[in-house]
Amino acid sequence: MGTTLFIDPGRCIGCQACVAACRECDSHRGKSMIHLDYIDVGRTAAAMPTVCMHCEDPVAPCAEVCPADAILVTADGVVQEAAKERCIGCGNCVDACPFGVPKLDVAEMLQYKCNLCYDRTSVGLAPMCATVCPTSAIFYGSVEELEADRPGAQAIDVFRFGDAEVRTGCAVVAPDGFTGPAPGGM
Amino acid sequence: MGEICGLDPRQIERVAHPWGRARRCWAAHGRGLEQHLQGVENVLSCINVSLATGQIGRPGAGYGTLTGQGGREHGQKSDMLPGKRDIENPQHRAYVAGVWGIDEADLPHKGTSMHEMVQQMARGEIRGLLGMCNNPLVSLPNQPVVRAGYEALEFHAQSDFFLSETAARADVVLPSTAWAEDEGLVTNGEGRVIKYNKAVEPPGEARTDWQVLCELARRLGAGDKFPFRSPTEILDELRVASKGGLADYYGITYEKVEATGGVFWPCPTLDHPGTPRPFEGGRFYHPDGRARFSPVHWRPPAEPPDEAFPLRLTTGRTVAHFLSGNQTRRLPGLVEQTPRPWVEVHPSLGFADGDPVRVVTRRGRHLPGPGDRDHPPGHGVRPLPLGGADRRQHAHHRRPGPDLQDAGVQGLRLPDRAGPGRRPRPRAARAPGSTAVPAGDQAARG
Repeated sequence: MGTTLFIDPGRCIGCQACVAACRECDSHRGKSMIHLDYIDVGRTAAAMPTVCMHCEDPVAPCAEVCPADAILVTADGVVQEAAKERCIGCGNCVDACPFGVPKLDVAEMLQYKCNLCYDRTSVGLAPMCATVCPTSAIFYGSVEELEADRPGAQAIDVFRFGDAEVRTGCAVVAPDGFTGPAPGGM
Repeated sequence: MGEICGLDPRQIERVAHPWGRARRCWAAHGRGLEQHLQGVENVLSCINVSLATGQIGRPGAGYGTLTGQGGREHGQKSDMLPGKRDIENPQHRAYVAGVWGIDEADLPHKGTSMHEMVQQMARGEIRGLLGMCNNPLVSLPNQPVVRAGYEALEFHAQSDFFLSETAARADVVLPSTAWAEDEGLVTNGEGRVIKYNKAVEPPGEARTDWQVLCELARRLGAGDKFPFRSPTEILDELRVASKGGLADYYGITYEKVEATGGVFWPCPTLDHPGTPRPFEGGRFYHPDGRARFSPVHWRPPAEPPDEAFPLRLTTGRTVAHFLSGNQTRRLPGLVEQTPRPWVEVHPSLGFADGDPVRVVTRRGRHLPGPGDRDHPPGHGVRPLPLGGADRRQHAHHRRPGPDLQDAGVQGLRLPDRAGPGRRPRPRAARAPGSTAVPAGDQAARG
């Protein structure tokens, strides 16, 4: 884990600031790439933001299954959105992603997904969602910076889906005492 | 206390113990605590607890309201002069009259609050009104009274950067600039004076609020009292007018704010670094330097539930919309996020998530839709007004003393469901406990 996104669901208050900020991006204006789930509406205010986790091992499933080679994984491990000039809107990536991140715009027949604000992170800026999150449920930085911000925080970058494990470029912050891998499909 | 609040006393203890044990605590609240019949008492209670536990005037500790600062120190409140000076204090009046170059006798005395003003308007005691960037026809409680007040005006001018519901009924609308279209200093919620820079040119004929006021003064024959050509010249006057007051801005300049990223008032001299933490070292404003507790007494709400109105209605806010929504209701993403008001009621009342309901209070009928968040039986929650004909705040109780309204608690009943097919069905729950219903009547605003 280098400098990356850390998602801490325990801090998320479901305010949708990340969604609003993501929606402002010029490359997908009006569309938010963040999935914000309310866990048990009516019984808890708990919420969970999901961004692209940028799978590392095995190589991002979305890119592996793309028949048009539209999904580029850059040298720094960021899984890009499907290139518009290549994407054929087949939806394979949507089905392959274990986290449910890519979505298909059926009218455009194009895939959309979080690309870690590559225009920003490639020049040292934090992704928009992390800059607006009022509780730092979405935190951008290194493990060391996370540790300095919240001592004892446990970051997990391995998820288990059945018998398969996926190592990701982004990580989640686990509750106290929990050691990975994180259960996938949450 | 537990009985009044409907809480298990152990819950109160669970919050009190960590507070009592902590070396450093900070208490903060917003409008939810303030806009009650007992809002003043609520706030004083927070201050009392902070004082009793020694959490004032120390690093990492303190008390603050998140609802902002600025206007009070600058003298915009109708009972204040610049620098938090008192408009009824003869020395304060004489000083500020001297700064402004007017006869002290020409300086008005204490004015009235907006709630009193609408009643004065209805009685013909206020016949002309210049409103700036407020939207009382959505935001004030007890709308029938507010509407009657505005309708009785002989002349109403309103300035705003979007045509609000209130501006739409004015005789003259002055298009003003948004915050990114002008520069100047503002005071944020922590008392830090910061600088806004102009990011874009104003569209069309829009003018800044200060240009509007200066031009009005010129046409009224008082242009020599408003000779300002820039926000810095206005700041220079405020610096002198507030000098020596509790909120002393004299030492605050553009240069200092730009060099430091912000200066906390009071800042009495040019070489003063500002005061990030008031009451440092336990010195308070009372002559003996000590703080005072303010005892509070609980009183029941003005309108307890009865047979005709068996539920309690409390109000809240929604994150997607700001104040009356005059800005945020124009943004499709935010409208989609929260298209209309809703009520949240206990499931035992028999409503399903998304059911359209008609809400009736003693003030009238409203048409939000319900949610089913975990509120106690006999309790309904409705967000503060989002504008439009059927979504206004109708409760208004006055209390003696500081002017705060009881928009918080009122009687409510949910007598029937709106007929099937009259309201579109909700698409999906979007916020915890909320029910998002497509904005069928968004277009009705204004």
